[in-house]
Amino acid sequence: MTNWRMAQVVVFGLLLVLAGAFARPPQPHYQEHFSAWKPVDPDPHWDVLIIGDSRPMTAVMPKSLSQQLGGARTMSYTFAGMGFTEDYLSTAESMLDPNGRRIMIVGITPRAFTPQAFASNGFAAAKTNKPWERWVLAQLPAWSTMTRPYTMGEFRALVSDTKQAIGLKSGRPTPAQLARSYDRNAVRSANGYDRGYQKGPVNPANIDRLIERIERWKAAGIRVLGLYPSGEDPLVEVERKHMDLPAFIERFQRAGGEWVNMDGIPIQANDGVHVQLETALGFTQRLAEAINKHE
Amino acid sequence: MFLVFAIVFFGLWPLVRKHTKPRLAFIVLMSLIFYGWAEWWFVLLLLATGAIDFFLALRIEDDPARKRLYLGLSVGMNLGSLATFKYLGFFTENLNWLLHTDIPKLSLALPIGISFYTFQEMSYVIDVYLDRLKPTRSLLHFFAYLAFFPQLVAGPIERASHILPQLLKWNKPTDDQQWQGLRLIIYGLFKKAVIADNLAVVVNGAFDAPTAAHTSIYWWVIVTMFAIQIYCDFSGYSDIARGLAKWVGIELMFNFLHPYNANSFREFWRRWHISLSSWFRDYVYIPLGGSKDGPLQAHRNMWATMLLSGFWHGAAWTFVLWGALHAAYLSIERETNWTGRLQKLPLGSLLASLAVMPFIWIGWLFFRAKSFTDATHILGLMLNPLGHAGYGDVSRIARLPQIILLGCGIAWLVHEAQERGKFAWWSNTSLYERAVLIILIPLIVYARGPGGAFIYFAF
Repeated sequence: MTNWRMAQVVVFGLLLVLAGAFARPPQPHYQEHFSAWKPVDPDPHWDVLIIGDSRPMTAVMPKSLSQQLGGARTMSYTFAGMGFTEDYLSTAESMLDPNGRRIMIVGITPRAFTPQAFASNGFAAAKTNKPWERWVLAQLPAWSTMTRPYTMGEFRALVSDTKQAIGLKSGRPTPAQLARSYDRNAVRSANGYDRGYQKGPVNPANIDRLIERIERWKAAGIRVLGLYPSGEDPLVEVERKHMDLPAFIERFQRAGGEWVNMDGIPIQANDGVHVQLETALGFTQRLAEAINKHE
Repeated sequence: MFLVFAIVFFGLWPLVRKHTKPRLAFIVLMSLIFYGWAEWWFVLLLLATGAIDFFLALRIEDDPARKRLYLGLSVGMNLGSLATFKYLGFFTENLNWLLHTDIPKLSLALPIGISFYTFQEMSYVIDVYLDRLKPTRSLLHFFAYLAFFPQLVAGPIERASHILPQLLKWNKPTDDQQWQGLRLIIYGLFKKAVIADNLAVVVNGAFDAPTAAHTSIYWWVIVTMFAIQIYCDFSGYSDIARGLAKWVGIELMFNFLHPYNANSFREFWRRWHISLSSWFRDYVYIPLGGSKDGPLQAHRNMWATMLLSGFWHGAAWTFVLWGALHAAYLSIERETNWTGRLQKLPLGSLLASLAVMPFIWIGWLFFRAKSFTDATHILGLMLNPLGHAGYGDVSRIARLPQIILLGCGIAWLVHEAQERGKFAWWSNTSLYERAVLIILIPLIVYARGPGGAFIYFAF
């Protein structure tokens, strides 16, 4: 480039882009828990554990939940592409502190009961990954969201209180969310899920095993709460076809679990499936209210 | 995707730019890849109509005795192509309504940019017919003009006499040309991605629910937002196109010249979508007789031109009405010279600009509304501020990122400074300009709206 002015503008402009990426306020939604960087061996020092696949991973914010539960030690022990295998459920159980509050939050998604989820299990993959591989995987979401447009909250966070600005106290929809511009993605994702369920439908035996496990947890004094981390309408329609959720909820409750209904919380999802921060804040608050109500 | 395309194009450009044939072949090949990316058969239509016009122009040159026939064939083919791909659904719908028939509505996929390149083809053949232009005998040369990727899908609608000579020889871009190219690209991206795309969120939401209870002021704010959105969207595209062209040593024409600064309707049309309005002036208004046959004929010709211009924008009556509104504005202005009188008052130019603006806004309402019913409903609310008083609902849209307003102000001032030479005492300092451009780059990345195609891609 022979033009010195151009070089200056391009180089300094890109440096500011890079600075913008690193100056982005911490995003508990993605950076802290959307990761494979989690203990895979027994580590019993948590009060509250959230389990499930990538949907409860994005739908429940452990840090916010912890704040609302008076500082309970909370971890999102969720893994993308996870199935409710015996190995996973046993390891999750071993993460709860025997002397702690012992609360297990189960994110129920039909996919977690399918043969695919059991065959290519995110948890199993995390176990076989080397530590450095897990670290790299943990960074990927942050990189993938690096050039995502700032929300107004994030812009404000550059000069003000971070927690408030990113919506831990008030979740204000951004123009992007108001636009509902993700409809196309929602349909595409729902169709993908539909094809997946057709290839490998929900296995009732896998549901039975989880229900048995919940009965055992209940008997062992573990409080179990369940939620359906809903996506956009097209996905919900597809999942209704492939799993009888009301029947599952009935069994879940008979086994001693407490079902937390998320009705009335506006759903906003990046890809139609994984909810955005504002929706996750709503889900988390509803869960915290349910937990606090009966304690 | 476009970023990848641009990197490939400018990465390979140095290898081919110095020799005419490889340069033209490269431009044509890359332009066709760019154009066919979304839908490959669009390329076939472009190639077919382009090739026919190329040969008809040669026939006009070689066989002048029958040049009227060749011109008729070309115009017929081009208008037929437009009628088929753009207006067929509209025609059948209206025919059914008029004759109470039930002809199935055929709506073919609209090839992106068909209105733009068809007009370029037509102007090429007409110019050859009128002996204003010597046709090129190289098909590559012709297609490099017709399909030149920066302006293929949304203009400016270039004239062959302006572009063909530039394509023939390699004009190494000067340092200043490269710099101006970068400026235009950054301003264009900022106008499109930050201003237009963010405003689109609010504007689309409002026009998707036109019957929701709203105040008069709400709709004035929404239509103002649309006026800014469409300007930033379209002029942003033109800026990017001009900037990219400068980097390959080609100068495209100005397409916008601060249209909202116009202090008369006539002035507005000299500043808005200049390449299209000058096309209609040269190929419709003047051939119809212009204003030389008397005032009545001038009005008639102007109405015909404006109605066609409205229809060019889209196959809907709202566009025709938009053209008719502007024709009415121009007619009244011509007869009464009310804007000219206003300009003679103290601060007259500003007063005239402010007086013209609401009328242009009302035009945009018809342009943007989804139907005539929606437009008249909204217009009823806008024109009855006492019946629909209040501003509570405006607070809902007042949440728009402050950054947009700030950016809008910066972009506006800088643009003013650069294009009109005002504020020269501070804006012409090179450091200031560089600083602004450097700040705009991260804003384009981080303050961009949710995206969407350019509005004029639909035309």
